[in-house]
This record gives sequence, structure tokens and C-alpha cells, in this order.
Amino acid sequence: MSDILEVKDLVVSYGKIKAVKGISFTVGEGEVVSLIGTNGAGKTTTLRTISGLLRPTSGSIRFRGQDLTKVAPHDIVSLGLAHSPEGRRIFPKLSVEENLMLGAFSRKDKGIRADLDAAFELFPILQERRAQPAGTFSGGEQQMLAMGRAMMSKPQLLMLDEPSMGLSPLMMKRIMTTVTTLQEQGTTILLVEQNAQAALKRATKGYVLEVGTIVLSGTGSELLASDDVRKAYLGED
Amino acid sequence: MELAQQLVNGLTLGSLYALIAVGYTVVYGIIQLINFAHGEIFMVGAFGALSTALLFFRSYVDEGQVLPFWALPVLILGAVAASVAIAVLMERIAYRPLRNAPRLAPLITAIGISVFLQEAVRLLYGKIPGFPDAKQKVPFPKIAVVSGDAWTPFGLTIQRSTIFTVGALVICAAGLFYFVSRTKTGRAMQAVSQDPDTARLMGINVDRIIVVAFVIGATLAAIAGIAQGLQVTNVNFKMGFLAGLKAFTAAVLGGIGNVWGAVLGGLTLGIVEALAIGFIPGTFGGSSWKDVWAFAILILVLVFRPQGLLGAKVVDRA
Repeated sequence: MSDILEVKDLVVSYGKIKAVKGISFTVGEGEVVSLIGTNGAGKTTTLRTISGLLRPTSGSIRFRGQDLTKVAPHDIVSLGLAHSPEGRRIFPKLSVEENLMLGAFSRKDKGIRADLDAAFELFPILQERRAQPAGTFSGGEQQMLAMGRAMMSKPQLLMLDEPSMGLSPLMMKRIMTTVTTLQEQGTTILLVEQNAQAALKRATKGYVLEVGTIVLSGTGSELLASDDVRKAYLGED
Repeated sequence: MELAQQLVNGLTLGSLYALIAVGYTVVYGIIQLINFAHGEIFMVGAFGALSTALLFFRSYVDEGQVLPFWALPVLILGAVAASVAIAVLMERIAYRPLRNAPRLAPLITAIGISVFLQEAVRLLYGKIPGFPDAKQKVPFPKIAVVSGDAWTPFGLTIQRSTIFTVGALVICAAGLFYFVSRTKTGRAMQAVSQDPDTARLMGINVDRIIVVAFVIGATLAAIAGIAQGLQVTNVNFKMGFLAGLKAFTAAVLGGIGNVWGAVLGGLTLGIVEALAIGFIPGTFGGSSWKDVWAFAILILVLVFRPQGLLGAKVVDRA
């Protein structure tokens, strides 16, 4: 597996406060890589820096060999990197279909219609309510829309930030099953989650983040079996 | 009859306010900036049209003749070019460097630009060879069809400039509706106004969309500049101040950030002013008090419905 994303010694600061303190990790083609950790560990900051919304203090981010730290966020999308942000962030006043089409904003090829159909196939409820304003959706439906929207850019790497946050157990299961489906369809995924159990179960590789530092890494099953993880994140003694 | 006449007058005034108000509201909708220099963009548009007439229709202007009707689109182009050029420069030079500054900085900058543009026109316009001194009012050229004797159907007086102003508003509003809701750039604009960071994640160049917002506002303001020139038959460097303030009131009245609110707010304000002129008797009536009534309306709206007529209550996203 060749690495599609390579993050090296990444440091990100808000003013004087370092939120990410020199982390390194890689995502290989076809993998599902999970970043887990508590609130404030620096997971969201890491994703926002990869997609260009934040700039690193030092370190490098390479996507297919190209350094991203100087590329504008709107250009990063067209390189093949999609980011479904924390809190879903759908456009509330636009319709479901308009939201999805905005996901394909940077594309000019003819496959957009087909990918819209693919998104509808993945989440049939989006098709039923395609003309409805997205703001009227429930949290779970908004999450489906956010994921469908991210897939509309036809990404080589999909970054999902806390897709299960605030969802009912049933909806959480539905979303996580979709992550598996996308993986089986060949999508490479970088998954950020507080729900360590769900995230690690599907991960080919996982990293545990604590206050801006990677404290543990390994395959998903290794981490699930590790005593530290079980104690800190799965609530077991 | 008196009522119908005042409604016509109000519609004329209101259409002018609405054309300018759209510029305040689209820019506010994207970057939450009250661009107080927008009134001057309107003034620059009027002077752009005047300059175009002086450059291409000089003989008509010198002999005091009426310009042919086909001069109108040429003057519109000239006005729009001048307003758009100044608006884009203003955004690039003055506002963009302040994108991440505290809100107060661009606001004060806007007031500075407003004074700068007024003074630049006042002091420099006459220095351009062949152009008249602009320290006082400058006559605006007359154009066939849209200038001239008023029409008097059913005993009403309808100025030809009224037809131009109201027609311009209808066409611009229709064009704007099509642009915002049917084109890719228009949807991107809505996305940026709802959530700029997420819009970036869609691959939208937010800086470009901001320029588009300024261009739209400047285009409509330029057309309003011509409408004003035709209505009052002269232009001056201060004309943007009160018109800008009224249009800003209209934008707030309708719900700032909402394009249809700006149109509705403009029309409402114009009609309120016209009715106040026509129907309030005694000391508080007449045209000298119309501005008082206009701003009284603004205060009432701010107290009882701060989000404006069409504005949505701001709710925090969960």
C-alpha cells in the first residue's frame, strides 16, 4: 500500500497555544485510518489544517507527494481531498440536491449526474427529500447529507470528522455501516471519532491523540486490545 | 387621485432606494460589512454616465440637445464600468487586507473611502481636460424617450424617468433572482453567506465570491446613478451621502443580508416618504420632514423587529 497522505512533525498553534504538537502519521491507499482521542486532543485541528482552513506553524503535509501547506483550501478539494466537517455543517437554507451539487463544485467532468445517483443510492432518504431545505433535517439525516456531499467531489481521500457525534445509537450504527460500505467501494478514509470502539473496529490503522500528541498507534485490532485504550476510551477497568 | 399620485412618486423613490440597497445587503450577506462607501459607488456611476456622454456624445451635450435613445445603453455601460472598477479596487486595496481584522476596522475604512471618493470627485473631476468642474451641481444629459415631458394618464403625472427607474428595478431584480438561484456561482454565493469555511471545503474560492458580491452591488448602484441623473437632471459629488443612508435604512428595514428584503425595504421606504409628504398636514408635513419620517421608521423597526421585515431571526446552529 502506497501512502496517499503523509503528515510529518505537524505543529498547529492558536496564538501562543499549541493545539497540535508535532504529530506524524500516514494514510495508505484504500485504508481506513482512525484518529481517536478526547475533546481538545487536536483531532479537528489536524483535519482543518490538512484541508487548508488552518495553517501549520511547522511540519509538512504531503498528499500524493505534493505539499499542501501552501495550497489554498478551494484548490485542495480539486486535488482529491474531501472533508466532511465536525457538526456536519450542511447549508441549511439550500435544498438537499443543491447541497449535494455544491459538493461537486470544483468538478467539470460529465460524471456528476452519475455520482448524484450514487449518493442517492447510498442514502435513499436524500432522494426522497431532494427538494427540501437541508436545515429541516434531523441530525442523522444531516450527517448522511454531509457524507454524500463530500463524496460528490469524487475524493481520493475522504476525511470524516466525528460523523457519529450526537446521533442516536441506531443512527450511529447506520452511519458507521456506511463508512464500511464506502471502504469496500475503495474509498480511502481518515476517520476522526470520539467513539473509539466504532472507529477502531473498522480501522486498518489507528492513532490515539492526547493533548496534541500521538501517544499510541497500531492496527485497529491492536488498539482495541490495548489496556490503555480500553481504560481511557472504552470505559473498562 | 392624490393617493395614486403619491404612490407613483413613492414607487419612483423606492425603486431608486431598492437598487442601491441591494448593494448593501449582498456585501453584508457575505462578509458582514456595512459598506458605507456604497453611496459613493452610486455617485461614481452617475459621473461615469456623465463622462461617457461627454466623451462620446460631446456635440449633443455642448449644444444642449437631447441624446438619441441608443445612447442610453452606452451610458449604462459607462456608468457600470466606472462603478464596478472603483468597487473592485476598493475591495482589493482597502477591505481584503482587513479580512481578519476586528469588525470595526473595515467599518471605519468604509467611512474613510466614502469621504475619499467624494473629495476625489469634487477636486479632480474638473481637472480632466474637457470635463466640467464638479464642485457644484453638474447638469446631467437628457436622453430621448427617458427624458422629456411627463405622461399624464388618468390625470396622474408620471415622469419618464419613473418608467426608467421602475423598469430598471424590475429587470435587475429578475436578473438577480436568476443569478442567485439558478447559476452555479449564485449558489456558491448563497453557500458562502451561510457558512464561508464549509464553502471553502466545497472548493469555492471565497475571495472570488466576495468580488462578485461587490460587482453586483456596483452594477445596480450605477444604474441607480443614471436613474437619479434623469430624475433630478443634475449630479453632484455629495449625491451618494443621503441616497446611501436611505438605501442602508431600506436594507435594514427589509432585513439586511436578504436581497428581497432590500427590494421590499426600498419600496416601503419610498412609499412611506411619499405618503408623509402628501398626507401629513401642518408643520410636520411636506418634503422637509420626509427624512425625519424615513429615519423614524428605521428606529421603530430596530426596536420592534430588529431582524427586519424579511430577515430571519438569528439562531445558533446546534
